[in-house]
Amino acid sequence: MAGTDEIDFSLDEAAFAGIVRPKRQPAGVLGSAGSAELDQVGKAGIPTMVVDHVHVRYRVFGGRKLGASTGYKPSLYRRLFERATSSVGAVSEVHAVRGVSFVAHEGESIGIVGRNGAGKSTLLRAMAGLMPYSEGAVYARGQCALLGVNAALLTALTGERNIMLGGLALGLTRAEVRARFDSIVEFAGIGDFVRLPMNAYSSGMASRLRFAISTSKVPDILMIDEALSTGDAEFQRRSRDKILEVQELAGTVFLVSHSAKAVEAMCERALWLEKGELVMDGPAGAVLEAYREGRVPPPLEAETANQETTHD
Amino acid sequence: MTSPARPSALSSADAAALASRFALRKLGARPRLGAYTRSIWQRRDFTWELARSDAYGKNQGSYLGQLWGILKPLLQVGVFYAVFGILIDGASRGVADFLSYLVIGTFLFEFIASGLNNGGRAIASKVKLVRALEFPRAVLPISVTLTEMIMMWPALVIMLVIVMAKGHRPTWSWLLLIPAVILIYMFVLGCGFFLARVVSATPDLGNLVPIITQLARFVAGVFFSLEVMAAKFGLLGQIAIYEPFALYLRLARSAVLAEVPAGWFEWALGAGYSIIALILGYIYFWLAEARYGRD
Repeated sequence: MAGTDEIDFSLDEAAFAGIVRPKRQPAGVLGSAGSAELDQVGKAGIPTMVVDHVHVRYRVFGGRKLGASTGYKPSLYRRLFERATSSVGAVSEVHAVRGVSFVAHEGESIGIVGRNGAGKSTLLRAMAGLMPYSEGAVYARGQCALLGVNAALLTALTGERNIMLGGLALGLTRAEVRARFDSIVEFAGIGDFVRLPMNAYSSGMASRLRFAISTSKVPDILMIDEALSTGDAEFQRRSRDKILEVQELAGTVFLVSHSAKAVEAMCERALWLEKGELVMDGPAGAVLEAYREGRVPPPLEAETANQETTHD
Repeated sequence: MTSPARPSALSSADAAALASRFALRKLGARPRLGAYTRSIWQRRDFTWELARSDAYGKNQGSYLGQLWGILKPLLQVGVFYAVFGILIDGASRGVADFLSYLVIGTFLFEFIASGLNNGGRAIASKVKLVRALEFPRAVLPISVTLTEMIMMWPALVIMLVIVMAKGHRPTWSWLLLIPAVILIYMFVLGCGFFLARVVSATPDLGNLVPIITQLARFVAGVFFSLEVMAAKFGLLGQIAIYEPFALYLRLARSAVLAEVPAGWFEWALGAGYSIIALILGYIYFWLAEARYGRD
């Protein structure tokens, strides 16, 4: 996709190009249409999201204090005391995302891969403006919609009420929600269940309804958090259509998954997150190949070894 | 920090410049107070729908369903009347129509107490919603206290029915109940803003809110005449009469019961409490807008 000719990139062309592709590849000139390399990397164009050195830390209450288990056997008094106090003031801070930076563009679909606990979902929440970050900055265009398994509405209420509530929360008016009501129910494929409270739904039905509600207003940036793992083949096809719709309207799609397969099927660019850090950013094929083989770029390994602290 | 193999990053200054060039807005930044207030107004339908749905949901999940909205306050009056009207003689001293006095005090104080308790948990109880959707967080304390207001209406109707059954006839002064309820709502909302921020930062304090409302219940003259009690305590008694909780109960009672007097001074003081609580609470809540939903 060319179409970037009118825009003056002079300020940050180099850095901007560098972020689209890993340094291993020679930085090409943006907007040089027809370059097969560029097409492979992603349809670099007008940025829709800039993520700048974002760190996310959050508190966890109620866990045991994180102390060193040194192996010595403490006295009885000490053991009793520690047992009594270990659940008092037990707050740990988790440093889930550590300085992630990248730029996303119009029409791109970006997969975020990484193992469980790599910080994928936390990063996505921070990118959607739903979880405060402690350092760095996130800039975005228009409205972000995050779809995730945990994005629950009020389960004690009927599907009807949830549709109204969700639509209003997205910033639609009552009339607009009513106008879209039938298409939401149809898209979710829940039929008469829409009149029952959501806690009577199967988990697949509930997540389909949430997906349908969240995408009833086409967002500029769509973020999907493992959402496609629920739902049958038919629904996955519809979801894919929705993703294409967002892309066609010059939006950006993010897909978080620990399944490389899902990312490969839907994304052209991939970010690989490991222990909260971005270790690789590039064309989906190359990143996923490295991810599958667990092949981390060499110089990084030495560096992570020095930073082997999960908790602060 | 950056090793050659790691994806390179823009410097923060370049990132900010790139963002401003393409008119990207910064997420997670606190908006200005005026823009924030406007964005709350834009979400008024959402706020109302959330409040209504919550009120409805609270009485679901039982055979009698929404009937509990009326049964609960009725049963509560029964308990209070049995204890403070019959078992403990002295409580009704100095009050001509103790049942009406008790009913108004109980129902309105119940609204204040549950408004404060739930207002404090406004963020914590809806953290899933906070993490799922982007909206001005002040919507939550507003809608949670609105929920309590919605749930109070059946109780208010019962209250007036009981008062009429005791032989009071409706007069124009009953309309003063409306400003009284509005002032109470504003005060509860202001405190709710304050508590919601405090409790979301330090969840431990959420356990103290019910203790405080319990204390207020006993000193605010819900089930005894404060004027009779206060006479014994001098200055402390005067403070007890004019503290917000007691004052609001007095305003509400004065609207319906001729035996409870309230003049311009009491109304002005009540309005002052409400406005100050609402403004300070709102600003205090807004200051931490970028931090809600962290844990």
